[in-house]
Amino acid sequence: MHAITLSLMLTLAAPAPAPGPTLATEDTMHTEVSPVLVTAPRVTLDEILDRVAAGEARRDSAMHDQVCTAALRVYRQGHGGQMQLMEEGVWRVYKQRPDLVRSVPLRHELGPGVKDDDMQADFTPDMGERIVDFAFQPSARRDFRYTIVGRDLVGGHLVYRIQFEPRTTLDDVRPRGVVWIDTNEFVIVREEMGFARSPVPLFIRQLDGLVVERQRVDEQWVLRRVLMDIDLTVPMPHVGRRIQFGMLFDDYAVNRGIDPAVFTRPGAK
Amino acid sequence: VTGARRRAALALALVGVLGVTAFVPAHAQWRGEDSDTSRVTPDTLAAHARRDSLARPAGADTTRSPLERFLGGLADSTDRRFGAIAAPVDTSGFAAMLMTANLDSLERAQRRVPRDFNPWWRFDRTVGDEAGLTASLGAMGRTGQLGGSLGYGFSSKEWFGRGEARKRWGPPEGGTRWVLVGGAGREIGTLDRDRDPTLLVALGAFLHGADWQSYVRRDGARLSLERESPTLRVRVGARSELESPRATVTEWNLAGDPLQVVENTPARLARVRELGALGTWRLPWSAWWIEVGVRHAMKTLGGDVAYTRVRTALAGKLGLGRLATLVPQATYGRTEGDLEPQNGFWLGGSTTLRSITPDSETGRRRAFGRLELFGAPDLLQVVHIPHSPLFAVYGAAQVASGAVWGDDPLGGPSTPGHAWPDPAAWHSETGFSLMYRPGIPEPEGFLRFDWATGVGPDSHHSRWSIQFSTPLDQLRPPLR
Repeated sequence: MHAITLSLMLTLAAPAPAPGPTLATEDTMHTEVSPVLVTAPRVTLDEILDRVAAGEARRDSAMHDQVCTAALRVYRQGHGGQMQLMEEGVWRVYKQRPDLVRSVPLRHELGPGVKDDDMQADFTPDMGERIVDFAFQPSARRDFRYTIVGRDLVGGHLVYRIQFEPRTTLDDVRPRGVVWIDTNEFVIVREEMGFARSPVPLFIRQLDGLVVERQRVDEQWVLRRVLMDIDLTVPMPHVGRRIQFGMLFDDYAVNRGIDPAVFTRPGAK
Repeated sequence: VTGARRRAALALALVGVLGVTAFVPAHAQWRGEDSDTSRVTPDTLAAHARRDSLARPAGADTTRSPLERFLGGLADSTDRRFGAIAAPVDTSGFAAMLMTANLDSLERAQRRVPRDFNPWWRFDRTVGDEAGLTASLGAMGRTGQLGGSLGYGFSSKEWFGRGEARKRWGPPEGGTRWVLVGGAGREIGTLDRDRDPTLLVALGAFLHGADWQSYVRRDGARLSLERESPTLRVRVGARSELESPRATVTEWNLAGDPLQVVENTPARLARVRELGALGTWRLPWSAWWIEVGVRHAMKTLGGDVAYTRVRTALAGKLGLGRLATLVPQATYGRTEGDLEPQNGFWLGGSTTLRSITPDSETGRRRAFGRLELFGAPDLLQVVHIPHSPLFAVYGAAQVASGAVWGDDPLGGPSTPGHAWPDPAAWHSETGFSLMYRPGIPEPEGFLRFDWATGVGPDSHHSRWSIQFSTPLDQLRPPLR
């Protein structure tokens, strides 16, 4: 109560303000710094694209071996429009340069009412993650048009958001979207994609929700999730009008070495 | 004013300031920690709960870097958008399973060999209805795939079939991959080596006898190896096949119409031992492709004919903003050595001059060029016809010119010209197309209604036709 009274008294006792804007007193700043015009070369879009291509190549070449748990999921529209599991498969995947790969199935689950298991996963020894950088490989530059749509300062990281779209109207069947690029390493850390027109209008009404996420594991950026939401043109038996696909990756071990015995089973590549 | 009272006033002012900052957006700057100027609001940055600008936010996740928290915020919105499918994988028990179980036994428990089978059908006047089954076992990218087809021609009373082994190294799409295909069998192909039998042509023949193509039977074996990368595709192969002429065995069609062309142009009966190479190169930093294909047949290996057939193509895809794409294409081909109907060059039809009856002219050499403008706007929308966006119709306009010259493989008179044809041999045309893009079987392909008319003093012929083709139809498709 005393404090409130004191505050009111101080306010009332203050002299009437002079006309014009009033500046608050800065109690933490005791010196004035005159403005200095800073000029510095700005990184052009072409330079960013060059560095992304180099950064992705560097990321790829820095990995000698990789172990992860990969899950492939398919969800369908159930009763009441709710999405429900149709099928899920989980594998432990072992990859080693130059061409060794092995995938060990850990779990396979069918959703309610599903009898046929159609899921097949074909893992390749490649660790390049083309689904992330397909539009940013040097050979793709002539096929896409790029625009800087934003920059985010996150801690010590400058993250560029770059939009890409097919360069010609005939290529509208190719995806377009936005990538988030961490300029500390010039690596793509996230991607959101879609199609201006349905690539298969007879079956797919809309495919504009495709998200690719990466995570940092053992000093490397690797896939975390690939999620896709598809509206179908006509309802399909046992599926309905909407279907979701998901690829999830977890429990990575990168460049920690893999026991050679893993790849020596009969028929291993 | 005493010191105690000063502190009380300061406390009151601070309460007021905190009352305001309680509504500061989550991406407010956070001195001493990460400064975030993102317009996207990461959910996991609980910056608004801070008590002063130097302290860590209450409940902040300090185990992750600012970038990880930023991405985590975006991932949270992904979770909300996708729902259950985005939930983390339940990995409980996996570690124990991998520790205790043998990897081989885990694999065996769920090991399955991919298999597939499908019915197929085709129709032409030299076979009639032909129906059968295709089947495959295995995956091309793993141990390889065995596949084949078997069918019966009901009018010609013949069996047709082919067995193949296929193996792919590398990813199925993108990157660099190698594909090896070897097989043997008997099948019907077109006399024009630059064209393949299509379902649309079979449907036209079946429904109302609209089939201008000529056919040849090929019995024997083929082997090919292809390397494909985003910029270069190279294919080498060999074949040893007996090529046999076909005769028309049925004039039936569903509508009962007279056949557009009754006679099937006969091929020469010949055993062909041929080596082939095909290279398609995407020119660096451009939207142009160059393709060169060479087929070399030899008698020294037991063949009946010796020739070298070369075909080159240049094609481009040039974007004109968001309104249209210009597609220029040109091809030049020549056959040296023994000239047969099945290794000559043909002119006319959907793949070359659309105003000329398909395969109506042939010669030892051919030159062809087309400039086509593909419009991007949906024409139904332009003329305000209500429709679903799934049934968008596009338009295209083209001008084209082409000629065949040199010896006639059918024994007719030669057309003057050596490396280049006489001016009189050229045919030119213009036309337009209405197109629908179904997305299958080729994502880039259009189902098109083409109308074309000849231009020039003696070219008054016009034709309409229906075809399915890709815009760059002068380039050969890759092995699939």
